[in-house]
Amino acid sequence: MIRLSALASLGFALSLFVSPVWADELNVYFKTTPGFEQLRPYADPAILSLLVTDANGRPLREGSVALRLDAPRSGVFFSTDFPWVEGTRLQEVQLNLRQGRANWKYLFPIRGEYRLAVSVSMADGRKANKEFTFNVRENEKKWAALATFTAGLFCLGLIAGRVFTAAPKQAAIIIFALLSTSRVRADTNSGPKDASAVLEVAPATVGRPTVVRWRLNNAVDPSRVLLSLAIVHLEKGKTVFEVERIPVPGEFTMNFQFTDGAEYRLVAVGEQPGSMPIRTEKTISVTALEPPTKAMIPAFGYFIALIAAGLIAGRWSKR
Amino acid sequence: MLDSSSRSYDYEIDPEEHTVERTVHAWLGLGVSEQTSFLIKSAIFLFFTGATLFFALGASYPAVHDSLHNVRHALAIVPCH
Repeated sequence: MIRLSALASLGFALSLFVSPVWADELNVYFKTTPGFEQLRPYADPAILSLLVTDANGRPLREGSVALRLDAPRSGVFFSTDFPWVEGTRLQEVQLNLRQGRANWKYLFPIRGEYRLAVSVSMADGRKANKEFTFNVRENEKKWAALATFTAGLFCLGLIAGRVFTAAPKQAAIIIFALLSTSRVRADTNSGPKDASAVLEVAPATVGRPTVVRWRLNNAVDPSRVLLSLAIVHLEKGKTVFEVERIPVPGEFTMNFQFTDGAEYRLVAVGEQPGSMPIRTEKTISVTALEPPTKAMIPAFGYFIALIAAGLIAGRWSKR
Repeated sequence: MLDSSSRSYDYEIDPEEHTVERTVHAWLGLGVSEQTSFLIKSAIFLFFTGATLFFALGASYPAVHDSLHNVRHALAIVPCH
């Protein structure tokens, strides 16, 4: 009875995982909290969870997952507000599984369809690969703001169109043209010049992954080191990436893209049995890039077209 | 009142309106139809509003960019750095 209820619980838990993958012998499940439908760019960080089980549904005891997260590709016409991020690699990281699970927090930067490639490696050499895709919708408040702005531009054109249109039979006007118009700031309070831990971040630029490396020197037992790492966007005050107490072999490396040209703080805490946690901190300034012209033209073309439509409507309404 | 048919302004009848048009007409002797006038005015208006929009939402000049940074992001389709 107990076994049955345990199996039922496990089945229910697995049913919550949205996308199962059937490799030959391994099942890989992926979910986000909140669910995919509730994800919004630069809202709150989501918890991304992977569960790897064997063919019998039991979570793997040992193994690791290599993750690769790619940003949505560019839209057909309009760009997002972070054009340099579109279609680029956001994360490349390897996490050890604990009870078949790997969890991390991430703040999605833009709307669109993300691709997460997962490669599971077991201690005995077995492997499974799977790619998940999921959609992050734009924040509704942004669409509302855009609609308001759009209406405002149209009204501006409408009023101008009425002003520029003379009353019928009142015509002929003369006009003459009058147009005369990452540096890395190693906040090397980097922790603790703490002789025993080092946190390194390569110069970061928007649109390209940056190497983030943490290393524990003089580890008593490198196989029993737990690392917590958080990356915080200082201007927005939001955590954009976080892993908590993941087992690492004394060092940890990942490729991570800082998606905004702003300041970020990285905080790493290494724990090992019998010692005090070792905290390392670094603040970096990410080099921003000007938006590409091809991303700007559609938006500004749209705005000007709206005003032009307003002008025509204004003229039409007065005649 | 300047009219395409009258080819002159009646300064007595229309003393307040179309000052610029009258001035330019007197200066350059140019006259255009109302329709063309509307097109020219609209083109100039679009040019200035477009330039203003670009300056406000697309330029990288720090003072402007920083002031309107949140607006750019709030509009969903305006690219930022």
